[in-house]
Amino acid sequence: MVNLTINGEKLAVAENSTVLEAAQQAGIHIPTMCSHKDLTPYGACRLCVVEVKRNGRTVVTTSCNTPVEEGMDVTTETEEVNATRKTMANLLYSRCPEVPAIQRMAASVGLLQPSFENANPKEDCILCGMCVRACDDIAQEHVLGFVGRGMDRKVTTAFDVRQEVCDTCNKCVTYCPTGAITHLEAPKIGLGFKKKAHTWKVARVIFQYTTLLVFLGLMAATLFNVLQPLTVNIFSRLNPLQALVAPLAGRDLITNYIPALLTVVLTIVFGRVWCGWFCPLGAVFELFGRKDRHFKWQNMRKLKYVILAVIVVMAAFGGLAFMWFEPITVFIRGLTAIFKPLIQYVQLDKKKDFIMPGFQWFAIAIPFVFALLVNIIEKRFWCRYLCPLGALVGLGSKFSWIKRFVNQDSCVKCGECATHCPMGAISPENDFKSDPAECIMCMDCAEPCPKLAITFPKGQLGGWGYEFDPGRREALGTIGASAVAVGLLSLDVGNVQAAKKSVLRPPGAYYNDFLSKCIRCDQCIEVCPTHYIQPAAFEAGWDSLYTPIVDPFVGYCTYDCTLCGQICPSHAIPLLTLEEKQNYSIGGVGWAQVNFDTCIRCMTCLDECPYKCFEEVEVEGHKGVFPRVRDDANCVGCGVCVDVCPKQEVKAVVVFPYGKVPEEKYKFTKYTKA
Amino acid sequence: MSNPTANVKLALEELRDELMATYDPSKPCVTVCAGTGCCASGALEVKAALDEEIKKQGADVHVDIKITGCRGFCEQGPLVAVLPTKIFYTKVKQSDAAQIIAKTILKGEIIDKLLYKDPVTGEKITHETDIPFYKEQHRILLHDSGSIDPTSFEDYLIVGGYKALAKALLTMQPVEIIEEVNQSGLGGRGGAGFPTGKKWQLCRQAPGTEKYVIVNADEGDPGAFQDRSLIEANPHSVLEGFIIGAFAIGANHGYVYIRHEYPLAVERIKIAINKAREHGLLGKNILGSGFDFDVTVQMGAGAFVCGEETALMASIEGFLGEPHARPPYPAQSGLWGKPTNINNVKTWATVPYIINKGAGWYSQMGTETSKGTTIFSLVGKINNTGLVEVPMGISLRDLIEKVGGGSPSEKKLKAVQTGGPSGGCIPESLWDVPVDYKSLGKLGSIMGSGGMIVMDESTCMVDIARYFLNFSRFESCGKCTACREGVTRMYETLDYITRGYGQEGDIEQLEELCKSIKAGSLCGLGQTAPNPVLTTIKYFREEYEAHIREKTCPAGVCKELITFYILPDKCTGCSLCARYCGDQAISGEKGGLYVIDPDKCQRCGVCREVCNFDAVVVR
Repeated sequence: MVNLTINGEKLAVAENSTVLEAAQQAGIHIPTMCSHKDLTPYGACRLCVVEVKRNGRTVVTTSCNTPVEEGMDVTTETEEVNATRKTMANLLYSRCPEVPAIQRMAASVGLLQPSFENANPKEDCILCGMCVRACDDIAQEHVLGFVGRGMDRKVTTAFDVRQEVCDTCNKCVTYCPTGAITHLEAPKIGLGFKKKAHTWKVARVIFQYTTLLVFLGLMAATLFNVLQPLTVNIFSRLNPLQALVAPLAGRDLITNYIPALLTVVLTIVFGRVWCGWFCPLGAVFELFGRKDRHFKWQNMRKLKYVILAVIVVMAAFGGLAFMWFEPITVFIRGLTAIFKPLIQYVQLDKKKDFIMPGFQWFAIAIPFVFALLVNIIEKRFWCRYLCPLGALVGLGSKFSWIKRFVNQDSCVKCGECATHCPMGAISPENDFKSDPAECIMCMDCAEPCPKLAITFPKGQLGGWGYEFDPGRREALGTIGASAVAVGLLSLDVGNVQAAKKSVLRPPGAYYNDFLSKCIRCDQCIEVCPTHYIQPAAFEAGWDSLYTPIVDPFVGYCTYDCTLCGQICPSHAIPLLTLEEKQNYSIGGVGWAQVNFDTCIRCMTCLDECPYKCFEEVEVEGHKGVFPRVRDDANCVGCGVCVDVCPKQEVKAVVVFPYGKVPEEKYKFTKYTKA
Repeated sequence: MSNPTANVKLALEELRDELMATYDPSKPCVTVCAGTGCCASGALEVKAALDEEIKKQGADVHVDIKITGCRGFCEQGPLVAVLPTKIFYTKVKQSDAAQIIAKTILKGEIIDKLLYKDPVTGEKITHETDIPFYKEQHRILLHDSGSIDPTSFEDYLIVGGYKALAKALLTMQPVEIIEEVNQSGLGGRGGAGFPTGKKWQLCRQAPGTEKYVIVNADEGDPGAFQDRSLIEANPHSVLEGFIIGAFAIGANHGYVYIRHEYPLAVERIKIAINKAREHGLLGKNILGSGFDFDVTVQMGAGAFVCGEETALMASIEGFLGEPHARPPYPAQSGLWGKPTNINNVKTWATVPYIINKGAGWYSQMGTETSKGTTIFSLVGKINNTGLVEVPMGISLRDLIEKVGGGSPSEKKLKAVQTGGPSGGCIPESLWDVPVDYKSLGKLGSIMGSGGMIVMDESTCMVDIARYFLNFSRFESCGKCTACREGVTRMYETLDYITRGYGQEGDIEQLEELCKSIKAGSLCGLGQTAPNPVLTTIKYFREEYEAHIREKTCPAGVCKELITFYILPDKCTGCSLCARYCGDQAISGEKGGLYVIDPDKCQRCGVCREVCNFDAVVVR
């Protein structure tokens, strides 16, 4: 052991240790940019200067390569030492003004601006020689070395030729304090790593946009009513949020959602890949918007969990009112609102027959337009702060087998990764790690990392208790918000409950627990060839927003069509056979009734009714023979009668929900031909 | 060390006796200086002409002809001296050869036009020793430079060469040798002046049997050529001292690290080593003493920093020539991690004289702290530029004005820069200080390897600081931040100042940088690189201020800050300047007045040089 004094503190340290090591042992901080415990001391950066008194002589020298001596008296901060250190920091800062690690080091010695200008401000190598020593000492490859003198000095390989071993070794990379190592011109350190990262990224982008194209293709198929053999609602059926809440609220095992288990498995293995690789809406968001964080209030990320909690808790109580917030439905509705009328217009022979849909129709695209607009603030704004599906797969990702991992031994906190993150998931306050629930595994950050510090390893980190998990207060807040949601559910503003029963639902919905299963995707609206199915606004209560209602004044239910039942992923509109749909007690929509006051007795309805529901009656106080739906008829409320009725504006025939059919005002008798 | 052969007459001594018997000191001998300087001005052609003439005139039985090493008076080369009368001819041309043989050799006449003319008195001087340049010197190391053929082993023997080696190896113990060197007070001539005896002792005491010694002949300062000249003139003296030192230290292998840019010196030291090896002075069992020693010549690729001992050793080992931190010192862990002693050429060459004549003789010369003589290369704005050897303690004024012969023009001398790019500029007012390690250090300069550059009024001190920093920044190895970045930043600041972009606060910033670089640099290069800046700021601050505040260059050097101007009353309208001007910046009519257009003028100064009437001035 050697005895020495550092800053007046008496110490005994092992022989052959350096002054720097002794100081570190004593907990005294000496700044340095070129020393590392694994590497032989070099003395290049000159930041670690200290004042050393030995044998009556006082010198200012570097502590990293001065061996301790018996009786040595070291002072780590004197006026001269501090001035020298500051100048050295200034010189390094002036050389590499844009390197965050240098900026932090300079700030730590009280220097906020470099004094000199550098002709090449992008320079990031401080020539500390750590890579060269790592190559010599650790890797023992002796590939890297210095070339040139003075300002021309640089790190490179022999004859500026890239060496094969560099593709596999990369041992130097960890030691580089600035991140310059992978920017070296000739050696191209980490090229293999970056190529791999790039390949993954390209694979991801290709997969993502292929998915988007498939989705758009399926949407087109839906619009053109080609459902078979394509499973056009597969994006809904893979959707774990729908798969969770629809059966929960509907108290029914919906077999349609079995594919969602695949997503669950993928999430548990790979994390939030749904969002980064699969989600077609996410692919659209990727097309524009700013990466990194720009929105100040990052706590708003928790909002999506609140939304998720509200949806799930309401589902537990049987309601799905906010499912219109689910991203796949948002996208489908957005496309439907635009393309459904467009295709109709194109297909029309007489363009002037085209009727522009009203605001209520286009209102279904409001969430989609909103999501696109906020994407301008930040890329994937929706995914970051609002998406309940993202929240759900995010929670699953906390337990995922594969996670983004930042090697803190290598990371120099340059923040390059954060500028590439489309989710703003990378947290500068948290050593540029990311919450697995926020990371969508897009892998865009791996390639730009100059320290090759970002990997996606298996079996790292785990579940709860991780640094990004919410605090108790946030959890309580979420539960509170859900309670409010349940309150909303039971809220009966005005005649909401009554309103619910006042609308017509698509075939079979009447006999189903429709509102507890409808996930508001509006694919039924999209697919309906006659525009019979229309979106609801608030006419059926606030919690029926965007649910499908049928409007016989717009279209009619085609006799031999069961497309809406086929496409409905949650079986809210039951999957009926043609016979079942044509049976009013299974697939009925409502009951038609002729208004004898306005009917002009043209009998078209009687002729056209596919179900032969009409009889001829004579009505008391009215002249002539009127059509009327027989009491024992099989009226499914298909609306053909309304459609063919020439007196629609005075509602000569109206379809009413079952149980809402008004009593006949006048007495009538069956007419029999004389 | 017991020595069975001590009483046996050495083969070496027998050879010397044989040579002395045939050697006739009175036989005329024409010596042609063949140092690099004289060779460059045609000495080898002169030698060839002399050879031819001797044959032609049939004088070859009466006279010897030989080439010698550098005589130091390079200003006047090619130099020819006729021994033993020491008639000294300067600036000899090929065409003069016939006359020299015909008149001087055969008839004993003196050729007046080839004699040296004293620039002060205008007197012609016949003999070498009477020339003030030589008269004021005290030549020990350079004593034989002008009389022996550097490629001839025999010549060295005749002047008493290798006597010291025999004495040291056969009659002295290593500790005795070290003690003798210690007593002499010899300090390292590389510039730092560390006591040589102490250094040897440290290396000898270091544990381990494998040790190395190195001759540092990596002389890279601009304007310094002492080491080169010494090796070119008398390589055996260096070798002799080297072998003695190796014996004293206990090293069995030595390296001569010499610049690749010194081909003549490399060639001559190689010849000397081969001759010494032939005569058993290198190799196994030298002179029967049982001491083994051999030497390798290692050429440096021309990095200034390789003159630094740790960088030099790294270079020999095949690594990048960059210094490492001390401790460990080379005496503990040097070349290949073994104890190593490294000394300058001049230090090694001094050793035989100390062994021969004793420590007492040597320590008589010099001052209290710095003993002996040292060699300077004296260059710049003086009459006698060349290589001079003077005792330590001579005043700068004597050195520059007596030996150097003062200013060649009417311009007053202003300062002297000692120690090359690592030294400082000492103003004329302080020239009375004695030249030794301590007093130069006090003035902010260093002795260095002995370069001395004299400057007159027409030298801009800011520009000169910039010039030296430019050298330092290119020669910095780039390992440590202080030197690599700091020197470059200082250079940039100075460059801005000389170009008229200087700002208030630049001087203070420079001073601060200088202090930190001195404290923070890894090796001597960085630690001394700020010296030119510090001393010029210290002694010539007003010049800096003029550059920064008034944007003028008092010495009229910095191009961006000066304008050339033709004095109307002096201009005769001869049109000479206009014809020489490369930029057509001068206009006027013949017989009338010529005017310089400052926008076109590139400030090359040709007009001023060619004007016969001093009409062109700088403002």
